[in-house]
Amino acid sequence: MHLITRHSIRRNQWRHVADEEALGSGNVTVSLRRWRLQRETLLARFRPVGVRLQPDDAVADIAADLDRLDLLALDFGSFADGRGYSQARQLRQQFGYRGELRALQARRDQLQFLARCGFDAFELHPREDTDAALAVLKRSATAYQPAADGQSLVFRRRRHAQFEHVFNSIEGARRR
Amino acid sequence: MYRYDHFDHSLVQERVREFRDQVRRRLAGELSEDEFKPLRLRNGLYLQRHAYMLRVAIPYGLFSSRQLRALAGIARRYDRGFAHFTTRQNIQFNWPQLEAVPDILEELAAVEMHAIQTSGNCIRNITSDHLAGVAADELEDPRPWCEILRQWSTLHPEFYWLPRKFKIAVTGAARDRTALRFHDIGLRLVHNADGVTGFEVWVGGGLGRAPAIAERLRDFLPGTQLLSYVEAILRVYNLHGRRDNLHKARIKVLVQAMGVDRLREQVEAAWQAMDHAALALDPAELAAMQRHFTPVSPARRPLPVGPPPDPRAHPGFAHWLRQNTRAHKDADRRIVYVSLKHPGAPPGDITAAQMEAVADLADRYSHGELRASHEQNLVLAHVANRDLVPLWRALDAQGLATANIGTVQDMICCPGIDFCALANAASIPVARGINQRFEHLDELYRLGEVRIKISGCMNACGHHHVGDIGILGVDKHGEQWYQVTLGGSASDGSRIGTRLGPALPAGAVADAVAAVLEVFAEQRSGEESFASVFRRLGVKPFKELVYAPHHETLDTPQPVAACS
Repeated sequence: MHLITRHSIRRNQWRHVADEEALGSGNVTVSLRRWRLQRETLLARFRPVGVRLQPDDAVADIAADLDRLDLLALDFGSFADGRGYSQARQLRQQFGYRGELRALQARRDQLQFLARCGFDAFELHPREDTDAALAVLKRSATAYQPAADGQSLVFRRRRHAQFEHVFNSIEGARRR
Repeated sequence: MYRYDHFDHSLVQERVREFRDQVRRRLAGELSEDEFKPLRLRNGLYLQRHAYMLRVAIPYGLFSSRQLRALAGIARRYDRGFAHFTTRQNIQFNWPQLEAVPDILEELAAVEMHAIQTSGNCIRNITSDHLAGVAADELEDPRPWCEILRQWSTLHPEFYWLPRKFKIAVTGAARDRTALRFHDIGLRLVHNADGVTGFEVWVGGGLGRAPAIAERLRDFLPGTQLLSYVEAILRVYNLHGRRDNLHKARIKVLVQAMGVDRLREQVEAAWQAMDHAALALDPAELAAMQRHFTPVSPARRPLPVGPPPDPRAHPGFAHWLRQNTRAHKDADRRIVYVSLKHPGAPPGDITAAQMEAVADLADRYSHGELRASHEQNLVLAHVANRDLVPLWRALDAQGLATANIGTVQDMICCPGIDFCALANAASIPVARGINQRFEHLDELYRLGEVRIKISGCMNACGHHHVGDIGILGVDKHGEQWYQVTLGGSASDGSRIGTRLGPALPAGAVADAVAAVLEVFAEQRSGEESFASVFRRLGVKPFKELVYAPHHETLDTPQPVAACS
């Protein structure tokens, strides 16, 4: 499994621990169910802890704990299940989550959309090529609409581009 | 009409490059067909019965002569010299090679076109009134709003993998010509008591396996808030729409399951939690978009004031003028339908030569602008009265002036089993069979406006639920049979048709249609519409006549070829 951010390949420091598996040492992610059952134990480890969310988990259920978590990992279940994109935008824009937001089993063709919705780390699908995936993330892409990436609505950018044009021509005239 | 600027050009060019790479990976075996499928679908590329099919977007049905010429060139060089206009105002090519599709998309990008989101479980082409901007019954032009929605919905990162396809229609007219209440979201332009422009918002309509009429979600949504509110609807649908069953995944099922009141609560809650400012439309931004759709100015081309040409000059012209043209809000012009319903050709089909001829006529007579209607005809919206006779002659020479708009021959018809991999039965031969029964235009005129709509399967691309007469192809033990429904309506007073009775074999469909129309003609008072007669009489008298001669033959299916 390769882990990348928007800019580089990164070494994975996290273990995704199943519900019946021992926590062990080191950084772990657990399911939302296990987080609810063992919240105090997990916090008492004084180790970074993260939660894995499934597509049918309501992100509001974890909202109160967001500042105690170092990682949220979203499991899409299948490539075609798009609930994770809405979950990510809610986490970033509605609940103000600032920690790492990681997409699991990510494919190249999803990466730009994932990044726009607020993901900043991607565990690639085993068949995916790391360099090609990074190249996709570095490629510039035109976007019409705002999402969780600070992009503004295209109609606004057009208007600003016009103002800039007018401003530049006034400036140009003044200099002459 | 809307012209691309550098944002739009960059977006479609980036998209072509991305798809070229996806095709390369597919051909190199880096992507399996299963992995490639959702990617190609979001570029309008289906794998059909015999070949790939490419569906090209015509946003809200509006396009230019230059674009039509480019489409003709694609039909000649990459297809078999023809194309097909769809019920979502798009155009389809039936025979492209996979390797050539990136080149086709590049040619489309050069004329400001694309195939983005014309299929797949995402927000599809926004549809609208094909008479937008010229209809006398219009409150406001819906097209600037359509273009705003088109841009917002294009490659929207959150809504690219919805539970199912999502269709939005917008109308600004008193009479609905968009089948508004059969869309996932229907938006009707209204003014509130203070004169503010906004929308009546309808949700949960759709055809397909379980047809549903949309419910009213909001009486008035200020226009400036359109995008944030639609985004809230989509977010609720994306998170809560069913994903376990393909046939229960449309938003209509969510509306039915939770009820429109609970859906409204959830949408309002999602809306309140969103950043409204980021999606609010500034008046200056809206005005900038509206400037793309200013009406054709009479001053640009002085027109003779006076009566339209004398219809008595030629009887064929008189019929055409009555059937295939409509009043324009400027009395010196007419709206002209280009009939793609020649009785000998598949409904909605057009050859490359016809496309080029229509493009020339649009340049000459209608400011280079064209519209595709969801009824699968083309529209030249700005024809000066004095140009009607030469235009009629030119269209007639191309077989595009059959005076049959709104009549029995003006059938909506999907491609059916002849092309489509989803179809259970043929549709084009059924349309041909009906046309052979109703060859005489006088008979059609006597019957007046009758809407026949034919689908080759449950997916209802041919809108059969909302035809005066709907015909649905079904598969019965490997044989093609047809279910007839009556009394459906797509426009105001939206109604889903009532089933006539047991399915009919292919060879009996044209007779059944003739029998239904016989009852209609007998029972009709004056110019009464089919819908009104059906409402009065119910299904019984139609059923009696249709099934009377068939009790013996109904069990012996005839192959579909019988009617072709």
